[in-house]
Amino acid sequence: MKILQVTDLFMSFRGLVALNGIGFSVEKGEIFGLIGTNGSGKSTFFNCVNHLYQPQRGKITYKGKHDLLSKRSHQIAKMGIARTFQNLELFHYTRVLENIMVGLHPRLDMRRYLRKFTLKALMSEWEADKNEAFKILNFLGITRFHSRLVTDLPYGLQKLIELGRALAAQPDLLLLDEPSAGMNESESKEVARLIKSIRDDFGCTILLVEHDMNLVQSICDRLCVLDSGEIVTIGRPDEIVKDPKVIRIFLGEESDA
Amino acid sequence: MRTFSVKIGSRRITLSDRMIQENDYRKWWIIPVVAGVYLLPLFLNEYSIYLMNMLAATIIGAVALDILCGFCGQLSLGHAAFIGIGAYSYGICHMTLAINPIFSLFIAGFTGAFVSLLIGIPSLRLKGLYLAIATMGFTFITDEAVRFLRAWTNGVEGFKISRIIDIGFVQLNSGDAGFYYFIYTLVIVAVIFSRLLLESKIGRAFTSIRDSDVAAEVSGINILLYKVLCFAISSFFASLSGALMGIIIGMISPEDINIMQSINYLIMLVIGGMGVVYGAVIGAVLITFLPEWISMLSNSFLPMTVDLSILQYLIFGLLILFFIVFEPNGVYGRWTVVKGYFKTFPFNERKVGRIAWIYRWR
Repeated sequence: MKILQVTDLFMSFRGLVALNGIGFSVEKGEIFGLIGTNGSGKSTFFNCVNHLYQPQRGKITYKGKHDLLSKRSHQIAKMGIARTFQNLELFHYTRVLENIMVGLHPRLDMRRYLRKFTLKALMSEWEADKNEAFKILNFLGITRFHSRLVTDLPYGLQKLIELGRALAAQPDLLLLDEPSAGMNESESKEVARLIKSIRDDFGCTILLVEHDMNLVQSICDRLCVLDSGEIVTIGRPDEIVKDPKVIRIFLGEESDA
Repeated sequence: MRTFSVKIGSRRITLSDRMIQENDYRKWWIIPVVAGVYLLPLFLNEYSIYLMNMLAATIIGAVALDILCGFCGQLSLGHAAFIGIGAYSYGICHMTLAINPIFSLFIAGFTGAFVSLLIGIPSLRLKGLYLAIATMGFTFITDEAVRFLRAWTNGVEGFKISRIIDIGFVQLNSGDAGFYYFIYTLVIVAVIFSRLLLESKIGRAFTSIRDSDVAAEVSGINILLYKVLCFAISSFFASLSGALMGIIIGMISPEDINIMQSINYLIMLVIGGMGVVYGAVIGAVLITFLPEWISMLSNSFLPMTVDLSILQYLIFGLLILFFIVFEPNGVYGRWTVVKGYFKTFPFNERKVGRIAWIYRWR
């Protein structure tokens, strides 16, 4: 089953073409990688999926029936698409637990509280909400930081917290924008392991933008190579790395001299 | 959750990660504070009770602005307008239409909330300073509207509001201790409401809009709905505060709807600590009592020829400068730092510094 179907997506910023009629589809349950040089339109594509940008042409269909470009961003989030950002977009002046609980937002029903009449029942409902967030923190192994301010934590942890916020929504489709940016080799191996276990434990499809070829090769089921807004090729990682067009984009023209 | 256990004698205690830094939500210090607030009028003279009642109305107003500016990050200079709208709509409901005062208070609140929708929806596209300018314009418009609707508001002469309110079983005069108990009950309700709001899903939506609206939107928060809701809640309390202020003073005139009033409330938030309910309360207390303290000090230390109002402005300005430069988080922000120091007392960095200091003296 196709969870995301993109057809002929075209987006330009005042003449600068960022996406030039791209089209592909993502199967349910796979890890799909988008790679490409800087400015090749990867993040623009993510913003189009979230409808933060309005593309001039094209169609993005989610789960075969929802047209994402006719929905507002928060409605898209409620349909089960969560994302992280390349440059962190965290809520800096709140605590880690509250950041995660913002991710729970679409799942929490305030009317539930109105049916409770004793203070104890209300408190236990509230605890239940917090426990949902603690489950995510436990999964990521950062429980002990739960009442720290986000600003006080190092960059790698902030990345994890943003991932946790996305996971808290229990998404069907998770968009990760450069999850290993700014990390060293051992940390990015850890991220690779984490992404795989997210796919297995949460059962979500993962769409991934990444520069780190090693990471992408080790976890992705399929890859899509973008170059200046156009798709170069789509295929399995081991085929992609042998493709001469891809090598030319990433390593430059081979000089014969 | 990782757990680890410690053996003390024959007992085995299991600790978990979660227990280490969990916030304690049972705040026992609230009980003595509330008891103190209710016992206070026994020891006060009439003027002090009047002042304390003004303080109560100001606290509700400051908490209202804190919901809008502190929680949701929408900088507003239209607060005086909502306070004025509250006072006028209470006056019109109670005096002209002779509605029950309790109902009139609620009608005043809901009028403010409704008017805030008219200003809130167009203000949604604006951010930061531009929103401040737009709401400032709203203050001027309200001022002029009050002067224009002379038939209802009595124009520039001001609108007289009865200082007596009848709450069913007892009549309260706004100069008495009875009104004090009434108004401080409202203050406690407002403070508890905004505390619960901050902990709830809605409050989290507000704070996330303040910190990053893009991230809030992709997390499933309807920014339009929550900004309008924030405007409505804030204006409800602002109008309530205005109505109470009208009852206490017994009068409302278009001069009360001025920009300085709005700025005054912003100053309270800056000094007390923005984004925290207690910060707003502290700021309101400081700003309300500061002129009194200044005049008390100057009476005892300065000759009578010194112009008090100039001295007040000078000290106000210096205080604001001091807070903006040295502690932008306000009094409450500084208090959290101090609290953190004592909470982690033996294991904090200052302690390390102190040990080094002792070594140097050996």
